[in-house]
Amino acid sequence: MWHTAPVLFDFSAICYLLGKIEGGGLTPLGTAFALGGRKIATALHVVRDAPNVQLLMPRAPVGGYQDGTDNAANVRPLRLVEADPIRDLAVLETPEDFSTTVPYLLASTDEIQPGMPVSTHGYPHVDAGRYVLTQYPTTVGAKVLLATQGVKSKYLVLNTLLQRGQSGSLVFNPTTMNIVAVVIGPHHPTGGTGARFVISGVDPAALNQTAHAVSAEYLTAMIR
Amino acid sequence: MSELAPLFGGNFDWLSTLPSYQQELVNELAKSRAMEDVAIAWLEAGTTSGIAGFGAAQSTRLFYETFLNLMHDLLCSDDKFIEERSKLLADYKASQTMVAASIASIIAPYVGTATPMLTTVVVIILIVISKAGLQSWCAAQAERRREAGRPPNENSR
Repeated sequence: MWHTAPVLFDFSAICYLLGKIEGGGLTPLGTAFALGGRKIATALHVVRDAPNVQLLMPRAPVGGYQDGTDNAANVRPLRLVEADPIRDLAVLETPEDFSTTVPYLLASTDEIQPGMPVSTHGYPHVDAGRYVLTQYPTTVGAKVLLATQGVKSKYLVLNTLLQRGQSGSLVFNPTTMNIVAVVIGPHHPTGGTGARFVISGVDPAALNQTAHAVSAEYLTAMIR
Repeated sequence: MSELAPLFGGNFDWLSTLPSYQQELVNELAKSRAMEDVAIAWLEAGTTSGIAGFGAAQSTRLFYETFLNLMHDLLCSDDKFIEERSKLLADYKASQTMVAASIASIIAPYVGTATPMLTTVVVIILIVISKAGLQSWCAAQAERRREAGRPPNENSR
């Protein structure tokens, strides 16, 4: 049994909700996290077809609570600067007056073993208008190699149920305090490309606790 | 068209204009498919086998044929993209490494995607053109469009 170290980072300052402006309003897209400097990362499918991706600035908590009734958005424009469609990863650049210093390193799924504790930090249920950064402690169910267009990459299987908006969430290793992976999506028998049966916006085939996250080492290669 | 012929005159290494991680991926994809199919694989990638993307919005897919038509119009026609072609030549004279990104920035708005996503595909097609020769590639694309029932502009060769 691995010991779960207390997580002391203020993730609200380094995990962001992304959106796009359309029809005079803001449509939430998914989660991103800071890489340091003016770079932030997310899953490519979150932003690849959005021409005007915006970062919703983190809101100050009220007495230690996120205000779940406040969906007012102070946004900053982002620019896609690196794209890896094979690993479904994207790096975006913030405006010149927005930069971050991050307390973690990008590592790899190599440092994780099945059964170890990790946590994801993202914005679930954004399609329902919920803008609440939520931490999900979970465990690693498996380490797998999966292929996109025949190219194999390293993934973690996380024992957690994902909701819309969590794509692009960081996966944190509390033992080493490193980011080890990026949330991509749940297991789906067809990979989401075949016929999908959706009830009230929910695809039952994706309702499972077999979430996939791609190794953060591929992000390292994108920001060299 | 002939004004752009110098772009493909030497043995320029188009792949070297991409970041290292993209060069490695293109080389990996090219191990099992022709270069044109590498371009298709790049555009169609984004869905890993057995994973559903879970952002709030579903992606739409680029259509390779639309991209090729635009590349054909840009590189082979005499009366389309005239201003853009002048800018392309200026970029080429400044630095050949800028050409792919310049082409991607011209085409990206027409296919609704960001330039970095498209630059890799442009590089792959520039490699194909360098091997085939611009004139042969233009003729092949004109034939493809005729067969597809979407004839090229009559001034596209």
